[in-house]
Amino acid sequence: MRTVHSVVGIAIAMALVGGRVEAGTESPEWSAYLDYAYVYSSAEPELLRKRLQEYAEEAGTPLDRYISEYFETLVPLEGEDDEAQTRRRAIAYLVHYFASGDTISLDRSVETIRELEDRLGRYENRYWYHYILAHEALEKGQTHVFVEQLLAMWVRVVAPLEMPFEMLRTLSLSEAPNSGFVSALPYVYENITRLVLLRSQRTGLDRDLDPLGAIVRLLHDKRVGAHPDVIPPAASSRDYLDRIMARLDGPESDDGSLTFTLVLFEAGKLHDRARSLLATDGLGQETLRAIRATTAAYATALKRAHTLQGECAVFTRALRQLGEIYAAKQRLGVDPEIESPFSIDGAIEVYRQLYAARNEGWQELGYRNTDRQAYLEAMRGLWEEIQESGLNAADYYLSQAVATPDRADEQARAAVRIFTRYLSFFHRYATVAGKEAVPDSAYFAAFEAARGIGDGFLAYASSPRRAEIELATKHYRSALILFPFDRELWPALTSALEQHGREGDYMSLVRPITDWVVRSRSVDAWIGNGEPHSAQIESLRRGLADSLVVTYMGFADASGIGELEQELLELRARRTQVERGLAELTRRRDRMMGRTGAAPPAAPDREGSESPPPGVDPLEFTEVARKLVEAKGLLGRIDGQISARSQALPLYKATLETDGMTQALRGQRDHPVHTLLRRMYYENRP
Amino acid sequence: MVFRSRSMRRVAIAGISALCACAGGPEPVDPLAVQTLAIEESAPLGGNALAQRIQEMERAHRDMVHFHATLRSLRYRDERESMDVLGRFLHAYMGLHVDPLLRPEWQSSHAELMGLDANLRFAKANLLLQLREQPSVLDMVEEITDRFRGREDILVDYPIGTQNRLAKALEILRGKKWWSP
Repeated sequence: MRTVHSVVGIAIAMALVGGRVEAGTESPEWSAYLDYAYVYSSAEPELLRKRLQEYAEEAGTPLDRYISEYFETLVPLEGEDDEAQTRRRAIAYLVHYFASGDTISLDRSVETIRELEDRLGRYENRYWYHYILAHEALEKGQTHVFVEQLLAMWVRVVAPLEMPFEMLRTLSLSEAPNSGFVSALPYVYENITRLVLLRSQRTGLDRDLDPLGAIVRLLHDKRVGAHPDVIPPAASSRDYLDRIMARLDGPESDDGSLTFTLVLFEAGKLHDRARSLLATDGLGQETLRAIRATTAAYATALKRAHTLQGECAVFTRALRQLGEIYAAKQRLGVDPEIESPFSIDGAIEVYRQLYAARNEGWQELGYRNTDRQAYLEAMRGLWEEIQESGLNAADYYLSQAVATPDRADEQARAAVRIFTRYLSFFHRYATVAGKEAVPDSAYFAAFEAARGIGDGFLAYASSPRRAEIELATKHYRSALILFPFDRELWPALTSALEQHGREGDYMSLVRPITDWVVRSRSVDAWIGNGEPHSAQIESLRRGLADSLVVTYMGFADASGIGELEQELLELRARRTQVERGLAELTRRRDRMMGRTGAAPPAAPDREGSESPPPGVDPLEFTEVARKLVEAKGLLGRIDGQISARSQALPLYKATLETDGMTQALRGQRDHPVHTLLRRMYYENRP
Repeated sequence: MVFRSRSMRRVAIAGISALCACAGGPEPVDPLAVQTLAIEESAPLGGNALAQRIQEMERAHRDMVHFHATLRSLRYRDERESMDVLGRFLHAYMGLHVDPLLRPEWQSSHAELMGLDANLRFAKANLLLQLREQPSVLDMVEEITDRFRGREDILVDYPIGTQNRLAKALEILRGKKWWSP
């Protein structure tokens, strides 16, 4: 112990602190805790306060009192220039600042550590010197100073300690009593990591951090988390660092910018919070504040993006939030004002630029550290958010059309505009040349948009114009081409046709579609390979091969399948009745002809060609003969109907098995049938 | 994080740190001031010392690769100020930690070290190139040529991320410009 209290010093201290001699003396406990502050100083404030409280109980004095009574009162009286005490005092102020947020403590820490500027030969002094000055820079928002202090810490503290540390570890001496500050190295790694990745972001440092990307890469390379015997994995920031590094070198980076990565990562955390509040509290005031904070954070990230890669990453996430907001508005039936600088059109423009470089120059858009797959994956991710936010927004307007009938036309047309924009986007980029950047779910989304246009005009608008009805019909048909497995769409098409008197065109309109599905190689292979839902798809394909089933699908109400079966039973009963009538007529005619059952004619009569035998009223005979012809014709027709319906009804019933597939595909963007729709879409395209 | 053993705290109280307590007078406050360490050996290493040198050189090479990635990223985004800051850091780092590792003559011909030695030299040249210090790069090329004369067939990790024969790598390095990818 270098601090030796002089009798004079103690006496003066007693006078100053009112006789609390014990409190004014140096505490061995606090000295030790301050010497080892690198172990706990990066803890979260709450945890740190708890820890300091425990130390205070052990030492018998809280830290703030120890600072005031010992460091600020007794030590100056001793008049000694003790290096260790100066360092401890600086650390004590810093730790107090961490726990309390009191910036005066930080100022005092800086002032104190600067007293050691001529004694930085000791690594421990250097470490605290740079660490404290880095915090001062953070507090003042001086990014360049912050960066320089950390780089200096690496050159002057970390790098020189690494080999001695490895040497001691090799000899199992890293925790030996005289290993000194060398053994602190794993904590130094942790503290730098937390300072760069966490503290810098909490203080809002959101620019010019990129040179520290080098340090973050070094920390990630067998340094942080490499000493689980010293810092248990649960207490290490390794996982967090892994996530940051994955972002830094991944598709959501901005050509490797640490600043951008951290800003977007923080925005993501705010987004998570807003999403959680949205789920629990709806669109309340706190949620709205969280949403605005997230939007602002995404806007900052967009400003920091130098490349299209960065812009794509920001738009992808910001649009996800936009989609969530529209879904919540629809679900909750509220419409609060939420402004956002992010638009679907803006995202489509980013996609356009990414698409333009697909053959040459895509690496220069920011994807130099990744492969082409990452570039394509980023484009597909952006596409999915364009489609989801658009569909959610349009659905919201359709729900508003129902909620406000007097504005139904306006709201429905707003929805149609959004659906149309997506379809336009889809047709422009879902080409054979660009398909690798299109997600599997895009084709079903195009179906939803096409169907949405039809529904918008026909089911939601109160007074659609003739041209709109025709447009709706056209889009229903397009929707069937994109996704022929939506059974509800077939009657929707006949309903649309009926509105402009064209229901008779139904079969001619759908025939090419049914023929295409029946002959589709993709569908055949899907069923043949027993891919997911192949049984349902096979049922539908079998149904589409039968024109009666197709007619049922267009005109019958699926909920009335029992009625159709009842009609078949009635038809069979009618047949029995007609058959009986026919038998009676046959007997009557035979009697007129004088025939008996035992003596059949040598050759069948030509119906109606026989002449009445003598004594039979020719008029009566002719009437019976006519009725016979009619009954036989009727029986034949009934037999035909029974035969057709007996065959078609089970097939039609089987098509009902595909019910629910539409909902499943809407809810699961990774549903396997999306892949089938994609294959079908490109099947006949050159 | 957990506080370490009480015995360690007692040790701390004692305030002894034999390895770290570098003696020294006043130091310049410039945070990136370059110092040099006296890591020079005139005779080849062996045993644990050799293993330690291998470890040091491997780590230094990995670190140089990370610096290369960061510098390249800054250059692509045209962040000149950040490049200057990192450049100053790299000069300090190389002067303090890499140059002493490259100083011994014998390791360029030592069977176990020559590959690492060459890799580290190429990595340094690569960073100097990115820092637009063409004359220093040419010095480095000359030094590599001299040191590895007769051993031009050894494989080296240059350009970063690829392997080439030393002669070929030198040829590539000579032809490179600071703006090359």
